[in-house]
Amino acid sequence: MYDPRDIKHIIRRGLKGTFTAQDVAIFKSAQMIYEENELLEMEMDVLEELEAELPGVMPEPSMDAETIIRTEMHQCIRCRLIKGMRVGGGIAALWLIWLGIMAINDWWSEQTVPSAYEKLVTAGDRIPSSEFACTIYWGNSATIVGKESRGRLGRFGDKELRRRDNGELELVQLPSQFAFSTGHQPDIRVITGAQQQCAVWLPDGSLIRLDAASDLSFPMEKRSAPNTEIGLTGRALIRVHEHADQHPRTVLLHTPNGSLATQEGEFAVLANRTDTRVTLLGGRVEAQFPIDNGYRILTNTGDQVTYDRCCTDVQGNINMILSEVTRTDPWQAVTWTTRERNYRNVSLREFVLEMNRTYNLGVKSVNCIPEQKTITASIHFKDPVGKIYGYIREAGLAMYESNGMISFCGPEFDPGRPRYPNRVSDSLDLMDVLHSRDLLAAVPR
Amino acid sequence: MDPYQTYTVKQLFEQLAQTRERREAEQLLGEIIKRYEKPLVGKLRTLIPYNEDLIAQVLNDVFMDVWKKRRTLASVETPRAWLLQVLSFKVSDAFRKRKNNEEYMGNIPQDYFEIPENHPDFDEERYRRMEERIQEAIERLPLMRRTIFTMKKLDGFSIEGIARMLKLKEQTVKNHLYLAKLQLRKILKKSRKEGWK
Repeated sequence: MYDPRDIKHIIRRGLKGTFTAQDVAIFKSAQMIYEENELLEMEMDVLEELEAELPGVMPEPSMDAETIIRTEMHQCIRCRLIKGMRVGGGIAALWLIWLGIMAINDWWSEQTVPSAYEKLVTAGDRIPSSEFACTIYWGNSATIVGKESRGRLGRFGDKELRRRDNGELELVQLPSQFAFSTGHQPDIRVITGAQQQCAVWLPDGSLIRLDAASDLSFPMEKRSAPNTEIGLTGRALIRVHEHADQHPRTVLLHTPNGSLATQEGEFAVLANRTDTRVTLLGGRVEAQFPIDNGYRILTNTGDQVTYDRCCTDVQGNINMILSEVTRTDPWQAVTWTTRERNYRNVSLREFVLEMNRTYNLGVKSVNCIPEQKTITASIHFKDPVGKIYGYIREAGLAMYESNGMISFCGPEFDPGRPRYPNRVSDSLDLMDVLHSRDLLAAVPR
Repeated sequence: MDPYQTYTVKQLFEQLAQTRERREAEQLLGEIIKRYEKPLVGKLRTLIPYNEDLIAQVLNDVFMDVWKKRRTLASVETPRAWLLQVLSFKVSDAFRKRKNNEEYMGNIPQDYFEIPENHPDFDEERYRRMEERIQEAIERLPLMRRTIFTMKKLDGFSIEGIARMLKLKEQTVKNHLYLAKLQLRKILKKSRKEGWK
């Protein structure tokens, strides 16, 4: 019953569709004894036998090896093409997605990511703009801007000065009917005093944040329109936005000994009478100084260039030197915007100069301060000047007052001033002498 | 005379797997088609009656598969059984592709191999009796053969698994299985002669 011949008979009946109930049962149980392959081999035997028995019934073979190979090749090519197209499409889709992400990122950055200036203004540890104060001069008029000043503060020709709610000042260009031309018009000057800071939006959208003891002048006359020319003495943080105009607008910043030009950039400037230091926070700035090869371009964040005195020649002329563009920490250039300034083992000379700028101490010269002396201090922007004196004294430095100026070089003697009594030591502190604290003790009896 | 006429199907498969010559491969495939086209058409006619287009398509797919998988054909132990298996898969595929067509819904043909137990022709009682007879025959096998046969056929373990569990070589397991089946056939044949139906 389970002989292969019997099984083949059953398969034959199965193929002919004449399975009996007994065949079904036998075949099912035979599946326990025979492997599937064996049964299939038997089935193939049966099929071959059937084909041999009924040659006329089956149709002539229609399959052709060549056709199959060709079809398979076409399928293969098509398959590869489709795969290639899918891969290409995938790459293109990824590229488009990437472009989209970059575009969204750019847009989002513009919308939300603050610029270096905004970071400074809005950051929690920065001096809030509500604390800003300054004085605006225009011709003979002076407008004092205090913490409480709000709204429209004055009109200077066709410009109007307003103070925004956040404390920043804004120079607004009025419509042309307000313009008048009666000859030369003075510049608008924004001046910050001791412990004052100020931020001004210019009509062209540029923003200038001034440190203490700084002077910004904005010309009323359009000397090089559409460019903007401004003058600066002191220290400032400047942001210039690129204009959407067809013709690029340049902002020219004149310092006492150089000029800076930018179409889009954020940079910090320290512009003294004797030296200028520019540090780039973003964008591009071109600097020009009155010296051979005095042209520098700052393009990377942190790029810094310094124009300073270097030495005196035999004729007594002071020579200037312009540094190459060096990379520095850009935030160091704007530490003056912080509420709390921390100085750790910094040069005492630097510290005194810095405090002189902020508090207008009236320091005559720092040359007498020993170079190697350092100081560690922490200054809040609202700290009184007495605290600064305290730090300086704590550092072991004696201060001498003369005509409202402070000197670190000991008492000064000038012909117009009565000298110390005879045999009074010159090394005595002038302040003590003036206040007669040690005078009696110093005078020999 | 075609040089491949004298080849067995196993040799044809091995040669097709090895050859790198397009012309030779084409001839080998042609020989396989020539030998098995008609039997396969016969099988297809039992599965898909009255649909010559579908039969031609399935047949084409079967030989296309032979060509696509030609590099692996050397490992096929039973080529003819393999062809029928491929045919079965291709028929299923063809019907699955047309599944949405109402005409074919619920009309998928079944191979007589896959007899459902609720088939009208299926005699449950007879099948059970036969199973008992086979069980009795199995019990008469020697211990090792019986164990291996039971593990393979009733428990469904693979040859590799059985070899690992019993710590035997795979070939030994295969030999035991072969001998067990041979002996079972003899036992069952003898039982029938003795009057069992």
